[in-house]
Amino acid sequence: MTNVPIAALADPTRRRLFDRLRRRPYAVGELARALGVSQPAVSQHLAVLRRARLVRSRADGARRLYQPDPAGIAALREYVDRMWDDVLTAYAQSFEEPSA
Amino acid sequence: MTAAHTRSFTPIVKQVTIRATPEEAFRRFTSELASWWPLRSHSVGQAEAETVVMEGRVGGRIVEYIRGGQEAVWGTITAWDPPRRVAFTWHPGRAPETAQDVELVFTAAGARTSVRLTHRGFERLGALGKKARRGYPIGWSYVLGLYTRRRGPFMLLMGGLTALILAFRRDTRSEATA
Repeated sequence: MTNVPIAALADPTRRRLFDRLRRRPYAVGELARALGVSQPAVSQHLAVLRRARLVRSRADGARRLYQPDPAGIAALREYVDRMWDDVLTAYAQSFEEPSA
Repeated sequence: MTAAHTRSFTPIVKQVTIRATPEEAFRRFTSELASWWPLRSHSVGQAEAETVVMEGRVGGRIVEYIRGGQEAVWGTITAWDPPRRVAFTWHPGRAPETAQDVELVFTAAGARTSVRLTHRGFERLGALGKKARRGYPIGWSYVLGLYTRRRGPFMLLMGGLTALILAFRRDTRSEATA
């Protein structure tokens, strides 16, 4: 279950970072200043979020801007979908066992 | 992107046919919830979850009891019509303000029962995000803060889902007005 996208938001710094990005696109340097975190640390967190498809980047002149990636939400809705699959499977199976 | 978002906010609908009467099916999902719900993987307390109880009446709660005396309310019953229908709000590990709606409808199908589950209200989270932006005290931190106390993946996922819906709702809106 930990390889699902949202697990990337388990880290408090990444949540703060993501919170910023939902307001407007940010460059790495701006994010580092806004959060009081070093630039390499911010880059590392952004890499995790990008791998989870929660954040995407685009070039803006010489710099790169980061923003939420809409691909992530589809994956999350899929998670809820799978959760109900798991739950309803357990529910249906409870009728197959005589002792249930 | 708009099409993808529209899909993201549509209700989730599931259907399963079980070997039981509607009465048995209804009872199993409600008063016997703890006998089959996968608590280890789908609960707030995870390994420490002891049981879950659905209080069978409108206004009753779905409560998970966690070792050490903690309780986690997953939702509140909004419709109680045995053996045909039960509906409840759904906010496990989240602020009640972020609740979505789940409905189960039980229909006899010969000797079996067809059970249809509908999970809706994703778009309401978007409206909540709008409120938060206007300065209501229901912000991102508040929503997320509730699940940071416990680190179970179920809670992370549910809380994170809320957060992301808020985020992408915002994203859509700002692109629409750009």
